[in-house]
Amino acid sequence: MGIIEWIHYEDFDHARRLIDEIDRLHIPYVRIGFTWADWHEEHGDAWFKWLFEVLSAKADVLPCFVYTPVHEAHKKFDREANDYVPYAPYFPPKHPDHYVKFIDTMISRYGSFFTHLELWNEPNNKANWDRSFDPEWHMFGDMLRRASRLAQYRGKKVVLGGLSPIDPRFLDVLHTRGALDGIDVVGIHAFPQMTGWTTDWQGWDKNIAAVKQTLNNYGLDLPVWITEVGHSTFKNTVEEEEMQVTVFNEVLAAKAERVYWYCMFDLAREFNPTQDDEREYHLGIKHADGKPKLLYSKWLTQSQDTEQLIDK
Amino acid sequence: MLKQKLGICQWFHYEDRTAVESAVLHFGKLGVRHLRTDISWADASRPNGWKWYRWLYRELHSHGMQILPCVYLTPPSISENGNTNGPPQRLEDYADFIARCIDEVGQWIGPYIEHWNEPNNDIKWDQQFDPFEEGRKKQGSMLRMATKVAHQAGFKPILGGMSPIDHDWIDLMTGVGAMEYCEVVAIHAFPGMWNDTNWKGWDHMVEYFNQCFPDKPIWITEIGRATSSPEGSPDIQLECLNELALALQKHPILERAYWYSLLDLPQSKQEIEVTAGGYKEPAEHALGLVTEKGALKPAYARFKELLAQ
Repeated sequence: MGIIEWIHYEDFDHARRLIDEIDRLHIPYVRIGFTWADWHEEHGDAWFKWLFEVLSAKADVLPCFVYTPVHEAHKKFDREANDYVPYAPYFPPKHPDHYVKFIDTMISRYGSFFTHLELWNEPNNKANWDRSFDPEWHMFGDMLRRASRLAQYRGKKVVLGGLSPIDPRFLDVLHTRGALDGIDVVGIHAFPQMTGWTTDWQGWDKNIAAVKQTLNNYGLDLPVWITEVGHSTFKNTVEEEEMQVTVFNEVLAAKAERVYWYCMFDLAREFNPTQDDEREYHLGIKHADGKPKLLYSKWLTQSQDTEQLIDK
Repeated sequence: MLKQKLGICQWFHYEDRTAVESAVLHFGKLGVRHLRTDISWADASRPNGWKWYRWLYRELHSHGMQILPCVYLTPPSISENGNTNGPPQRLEDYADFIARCIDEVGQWIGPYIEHWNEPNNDIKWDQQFDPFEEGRKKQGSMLRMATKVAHQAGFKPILGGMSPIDHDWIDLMTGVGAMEYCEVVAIHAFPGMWNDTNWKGWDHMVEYFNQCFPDKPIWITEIGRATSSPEGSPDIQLECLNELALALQKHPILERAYWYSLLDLPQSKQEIEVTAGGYKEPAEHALGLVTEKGALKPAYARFKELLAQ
């Protein structure tokens, strides 16, 4: 079981708190968004280097390379308002070429810190890839195909940015774009007990079997990783905290080679003012002020027990 | 008629005389008149660099070619990033190099000179050293000086064909005065692949050109489609050529097009620009009308027909 956390550009404090917890809970895997947009910030290079160094000292790092910088993004014109829609990081790039080059650069600069890399995040979710520019994923498929082959050529394993929803038909689309050949691991995301986020939940094993079946159709036998799973405690009730534990235990039993729990800390409201779904703020296993939730306490006890076992 | 508008873009590797001889034979058979090829600043700076380019341009000219040279690739020793896609440490060096090109091979080229190749593409211009968000100041200044030199020497400058087609970049260049002497806007198109995966057709593009560059004709200095799978196929390449031919006949604003390319890039050779990790895309080796073994693809015969019309 690993952890996934999104850390804002140069939020050193957040990163340090996460690293302390990774240490305390003995978490072996961490998945972190290294955004293309942050790379273009003034100290993008230094920030990436620092974050890779401190994280990889404690855990295996899976970087997720995603999100278009403002100057690289397509512009979106709203005919009714007769004006451009404000930029969003999930707008596809004008130059898919530049994303491929960005991946090349990431491997050149930080390749020693990771064995696997993840290309994009939830590409079949319109909140992470604006399909109005690319309705049939022609651009995404081509970009993924090129970036994945380049990454493999350079000795890295490629994780497909987690599917959300877990819709095996998206794999069919990627296959027709020739984009599955460069994939080593398929990522999937689900929030099983969260209405609206995950609908008609059939359980992990059915979902994983469906993904594996689709891959089998193309002669592929790839590992499936659950790269995001979690549960929100937005009403701050005991029942929710217990449900978080239940969701955790269920995913532990799933037939997935690796799981990343979303996430460690509830989102700090002052740094994330624009979430339109209140539940987004409460997915942590610790409250924003550091107070542990039930799942955190159980995780900690378990890791201490394990430690004692090892010591004995 | 099309002979005046449709030519070929073919790069030649340093001292690859065999490729030049083969290309010249095909140019004759196809009836090609317009050729776009490179002057690599890096190669010209080698000890025998100018000897090679003088031979190349004299040879091509003697076969009746009207040549558009595309001048780019910074010598690594004077490049900010130590690579051919870095800005030169002294921006005026590029203008001086343009003057040198005119001295050395000016009698065989022109009247147009293309300044840089895909200057808005990170692979050909390392934006880390000259960020777009900071206005591409180095590139703008370099191109402004160089285009002025070409203009003063009696040539017609063009800014390197864009990929992707992006009026924001032209606006930046116009803002710093780099478009002052440029009569045309150059673009690149690889419909259905690379930066043009969601290609909507030439009619749609012409609408865009009319809106964004109302007073400038368009030169398509690279247009092509790979015959490799999944990027394309020999039939898809043929279709791409047919659509281009129709568009050239229909839209006067599309003044010139250079098909990319004549000869498939041999598997043993790198692209002219190499990215840091050295990865070669298979499609780069399948853009020609003629395969590495010399077989003619379906679009070859069609190209000949079109030029004969």
